[in-house]
Amino acid sequence: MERLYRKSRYGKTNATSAELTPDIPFSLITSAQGGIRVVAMSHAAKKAGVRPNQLLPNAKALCPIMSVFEYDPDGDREELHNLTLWAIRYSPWAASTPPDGIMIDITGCAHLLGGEETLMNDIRTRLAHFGFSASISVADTIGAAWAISRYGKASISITPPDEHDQALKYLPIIALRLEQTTCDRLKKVGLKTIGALVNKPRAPLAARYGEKLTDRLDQALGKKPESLNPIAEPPDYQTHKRFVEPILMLEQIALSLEELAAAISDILKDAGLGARRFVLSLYRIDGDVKSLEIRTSSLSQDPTHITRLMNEKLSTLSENYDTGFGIEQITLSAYYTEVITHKQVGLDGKRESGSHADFQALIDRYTNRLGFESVGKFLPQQSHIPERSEKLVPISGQDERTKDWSGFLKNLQGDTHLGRPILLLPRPEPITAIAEVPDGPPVRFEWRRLKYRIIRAEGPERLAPEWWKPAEIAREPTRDYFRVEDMDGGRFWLFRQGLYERRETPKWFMHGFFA
Amino acid sequence: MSSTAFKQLKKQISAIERSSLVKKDDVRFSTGSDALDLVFPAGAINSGALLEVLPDNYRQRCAATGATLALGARLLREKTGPLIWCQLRDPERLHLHAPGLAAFGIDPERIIKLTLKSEHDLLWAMEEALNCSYLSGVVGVLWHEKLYNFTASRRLSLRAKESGVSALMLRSHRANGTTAADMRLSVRTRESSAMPERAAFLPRLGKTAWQLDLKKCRGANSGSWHIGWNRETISFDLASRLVGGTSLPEIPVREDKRHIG
Repeated sequence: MERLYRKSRYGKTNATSAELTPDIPFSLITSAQGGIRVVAMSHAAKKAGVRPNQLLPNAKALCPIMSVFEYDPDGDREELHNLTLWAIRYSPWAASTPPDGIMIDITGCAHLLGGEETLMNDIRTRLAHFGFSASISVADTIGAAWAISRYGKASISITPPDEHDQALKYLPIIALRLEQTTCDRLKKVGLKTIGALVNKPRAPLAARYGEKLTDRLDQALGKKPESLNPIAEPPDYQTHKRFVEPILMLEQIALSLEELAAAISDILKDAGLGARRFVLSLYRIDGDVKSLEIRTSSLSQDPTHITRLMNEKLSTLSENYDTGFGIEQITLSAYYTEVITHKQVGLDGKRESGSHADFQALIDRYTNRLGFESVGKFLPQQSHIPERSEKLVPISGQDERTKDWSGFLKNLQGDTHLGRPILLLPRPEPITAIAEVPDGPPVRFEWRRLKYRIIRAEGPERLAPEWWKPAEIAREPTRDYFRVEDMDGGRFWLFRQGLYERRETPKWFMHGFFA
Repeated sequence: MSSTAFKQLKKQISAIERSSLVKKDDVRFSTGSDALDLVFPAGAINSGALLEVLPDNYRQRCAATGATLALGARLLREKTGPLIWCQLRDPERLHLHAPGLAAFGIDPERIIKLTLKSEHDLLWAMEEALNCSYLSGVVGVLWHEKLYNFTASRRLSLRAKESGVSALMLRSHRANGTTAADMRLSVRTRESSAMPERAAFLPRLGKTAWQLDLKKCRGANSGSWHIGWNRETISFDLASRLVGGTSLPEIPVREDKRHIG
């Protein structure tokens, strides 16, 4: 296993203004114990004698012309995160190790980019273009790569598989990712390098300095496994395309997208798989990464379908996306792959038009363009209260539960026909109503400043809130629903909330409309 | 322009026109009422057409929605696919009530409701839906229209013709301007037929009934009918035949004050 380690040396990421070069003395400061202290400084400041953790007045005395900036750890972390996303272009298995490192698992990836050395040089040049200096090392274990990149002599190095002991031998113990206190205690007994620890008996070491020491040592030497948590979910399949010249027009991306879609579809078809999620990542030359995601309701491997959905995303992107100096690489990744069962096609080899697959494709186009929540389907709910008896849920491919509406209605009304209106107000609206008898239907009412006179009525249908529900629902007054018709034939669903016999003051509400 | 190029262009145009006007004689849907079906030249309403439903006035919007749903229910009988219902996102607006749809004769399971941000999206969604011949029908609700004009309606109408999927457009009573709709209906509620009731203080509600005005239909005369909706048979009834003594007795509704919960 090879690990590539990359380190951005300074917290210089937020000092992006053009005037700042390593030749100008400046430093980053933060409030710490005993006052304001220096966190990091430029080369020029270092030459003048400024050191990390120095108090600011002392540093100022050493280098009076030094300018200072607030240290911004959150900004650093964010920048590191973005850089890690960028690093996914080299391998899908990338992770950030705060405060200043990125790990990339390049197992099986190096040959795609011309070998480990070319890969490292590529990373280095690109990072240099972004304005980061980095020391990079390739090693077999996470621990070794971490140690060598930080404490090794060369800023770029490859450690061959059998030379790890040798490479780690002269590095300080702090390179094992241990706390400063452990290292200090080891120093006191004369153990300064990793080499000094290797041949010592493990049990006493662990007993005295904690198991972490021996664990870290074994991990660095490859005697104990260690895994990397990738920053983004690694895709199941991925295709990429690198451009010789950075691309400025999104239209050209669309052309390459077709190639990528065809390529990934070939891979999926060979494997007999379909995917539910595709992500197109655009790598801008300045390190910015933009990802476009599409989801399909059913397993998909059809390149035209993928391209079509992606193109819609691209066209919405083109309104507010700046290609900057150009896009140098695009990748298309497939996630959530599953074995696809092939549909029977007609004997003439043509797909039946008007098939269910066309419908699935339509739903995919809707959900990808309009958003998941815009495409809804009704689901019956276990409640007699009208507004709680239905639910509009987003449609999804996996969920093919059959909703038993006829059973629901039967449960609701038994053998009788209880009218339910086709349209419902979002919430009941108060009306002023006059009823002939207190318990009876109203004879006239006023709603939204229009007067209605009722000539027909049915009811009441009494709906009480569910007592087993939370208190605010259970304490709602009982409703008596009436179906009424006015002189023009308009049909309304009104209710009276509150019962006279419970000494509640009944109120009238408009709730729904019949056809 | 040279005459050959001109001829070429004419040929192309006629090819486009021909392909768009191919008559699929076998696709039409019945209203469920023989008398009403005979109004239409093909003996039924042509499928793959753009039908507009307008309320007679502001207060008739629910009636127009009901008539649209009734046509939708008829469409759902013809095919197995679902019905796409497109409406704009407006939290204050009335929304479809699924148990009510079930009571109206439509399986809510077969309705897919799209909630859209803009009229532009709505027209796009309808056009996309009309490409998919699996669907039973497409309904658009446009109480306020800005973009829906002759061009937009012509696009929908052509798409509908190609796929054979019917499009229903629910528009405002104030809607004017020429559109390429194949049929336009105006809807008004009608007082339900009398159900004599001795004991009750107010008589009961009868069947749902509308006054449908056929404002536009290629090959048919305009007319006005008193039409009822039968939710049991999911069909339109020419109500004039039913009024009076011949009225089918409605199943008496058992009203019991049930305490639920």
